[in-house]
Amino acid sequence: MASSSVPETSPAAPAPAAPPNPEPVPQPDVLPPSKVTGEFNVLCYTLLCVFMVTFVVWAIFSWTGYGQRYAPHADGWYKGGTRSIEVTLVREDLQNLSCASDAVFEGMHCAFRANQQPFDAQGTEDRVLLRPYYTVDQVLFLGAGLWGSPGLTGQLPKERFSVVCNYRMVGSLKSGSLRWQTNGQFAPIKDAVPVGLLTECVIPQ
Amino acid sequence: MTPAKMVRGVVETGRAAWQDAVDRWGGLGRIQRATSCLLAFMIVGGVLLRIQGIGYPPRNTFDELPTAQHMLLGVPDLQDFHPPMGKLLGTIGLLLFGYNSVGRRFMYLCFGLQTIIVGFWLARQIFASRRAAWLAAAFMAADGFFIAHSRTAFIDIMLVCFIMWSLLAVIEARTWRGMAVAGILIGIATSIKWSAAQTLVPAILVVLLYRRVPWYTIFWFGLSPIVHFFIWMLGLHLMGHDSSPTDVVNVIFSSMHSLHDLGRYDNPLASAWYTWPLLYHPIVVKLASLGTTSTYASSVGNLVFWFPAALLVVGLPVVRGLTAWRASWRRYWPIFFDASFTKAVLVLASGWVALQFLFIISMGKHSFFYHYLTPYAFAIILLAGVVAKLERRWPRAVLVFVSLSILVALYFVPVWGEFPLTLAQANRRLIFLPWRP
Repeated sequence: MASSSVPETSPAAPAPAAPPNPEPVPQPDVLPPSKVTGEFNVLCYTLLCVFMVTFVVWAIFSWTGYGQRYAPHADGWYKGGTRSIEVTLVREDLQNLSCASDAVFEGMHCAFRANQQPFDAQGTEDRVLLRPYYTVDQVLFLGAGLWGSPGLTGQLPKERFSVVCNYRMVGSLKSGSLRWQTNGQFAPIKDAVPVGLLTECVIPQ
Repeated sequence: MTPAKMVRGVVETGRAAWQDAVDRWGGLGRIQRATSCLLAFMIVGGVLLRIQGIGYPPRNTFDELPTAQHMLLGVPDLQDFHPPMGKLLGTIGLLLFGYNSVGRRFMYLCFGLQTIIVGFWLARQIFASRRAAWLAAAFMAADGFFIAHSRTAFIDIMLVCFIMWSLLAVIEARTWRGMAVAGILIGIATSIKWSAAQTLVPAILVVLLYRRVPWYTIFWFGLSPIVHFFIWMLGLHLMGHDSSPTDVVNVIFSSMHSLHDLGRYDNPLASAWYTWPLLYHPIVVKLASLGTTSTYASSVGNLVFWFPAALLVVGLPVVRGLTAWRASWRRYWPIFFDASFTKAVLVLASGWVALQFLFIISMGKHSFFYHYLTPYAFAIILLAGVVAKLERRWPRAVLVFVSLSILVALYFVPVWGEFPLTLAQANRRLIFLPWRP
């Protein structure tokens, strides 16, 4: 590191006679003037330090594949990204799952407004009706289009079943509330929730 | 400075540092060498402890709000009241690793590692002592407060880094250009959290005490609000909001108002500023359950540093004042401390006080233990300076002090570095009820 500080004690000042001491005498702990001077050094070294530390840690994580360990949670979880999603459902979830918010994302919206009044008196088509789901790895998201997907138009299983879909994220909802039972209460969401469109949904055989 | 010159400077500095280290090692006594080995162990251990298992748990914990994600997603982030710089920096991790826990915590980890480096530089320059620098780096590396916050996606660790950089820039300044750099850095720090504006107090004190630049160059600190304003504009633009100057002013006032409003509400995790140096209510900033065991990242500092640092940062200026008070006492201070050291004490102590000032006067119920992170950095650097001074006279005592700090660190490592612990094991370390989650 460059040092351009001016020591209070001049290195050129005559040193007092050292007292007898069995331990090796430490050298004066006063920094000499730096060879590298210039006030912008601090800013340059700041930026360089930010870059180097970031690069080294990134290199370690990338080399060891550490980032990949958590990658399954990452794919497609960004605006415009598409990822494969697996959820488990029961038939009644078509009526049970609902959300309330005034937000509209590319025409998609919840069944209820923020004041919990129906968003659309005539009802809303499934392809634009957002419902809350948890992925099998416990990620909460809002999706539209699952129940109207061609893969789910036939007779649905009576037991709990898995559905795999492609999920295209179109945004993120910060303010809203969710309901998991038809007669249940709406509970506000705590963190931002991804919002998107579910397509090509199938029940894996 | 051209890039080639900068790289040459770094290479030259590295070579000089290595040669210097070899020369210094030869000049050290047997006990000081042992202490040096322990300091190296603390630094290496602190770095490894920060990095290991950073991705766990995969979800957000405590206040790890997904604000950085919002910046990247281009969605509104109006429920977070802090300026956007910390979040902007946080998105770099998301761009490198994607939307996952490693990506979210990556940049905060990098800044956590940098606190060790910046602590080294600041101590080196303010005390003009290499030994103080190594001690400061080791103390910061082996302190749980910094370790826990390096492992968590909190903007406070970035704040500490930039505040220390700012002060370093002021100490280094020799002309108006250096002061302009310092002003820009303070502006960046203030764009992480507004409380960084309080750095102006120690910064102005550096100018007045050290007199390396004319006093009127402090007006260059006027750059900091301009930098702050432009960073807000950039942040709002990236979030997809209107970012005209009028919009920025509106958002700033709205955020300040909301932040102030938070002070009205009770929060069980809140703690008053005067309890921070007493280590009354450190927060467990990360907590995850693994069935029969849990992982903890507690803000409990290293007890061997915590109380001496608080005592020194309060006591030394008081003692200095008392010795200046009466003529018969005045001769005692220079026996132990030279003028340079006195200035360093005053600057660091003023920083320690100033960076708590906002929480003393205005934050009401919205002051938390992690607000002490930056003041503590000042205190721990002062501790390093004092220990370096003591080591010249009592190297054996310092060796015992450093050894003790390592033993304490080893005991607390599981609750700093998120090792799986049973409840009983965790409670044996988080001794007091307010320490527990």
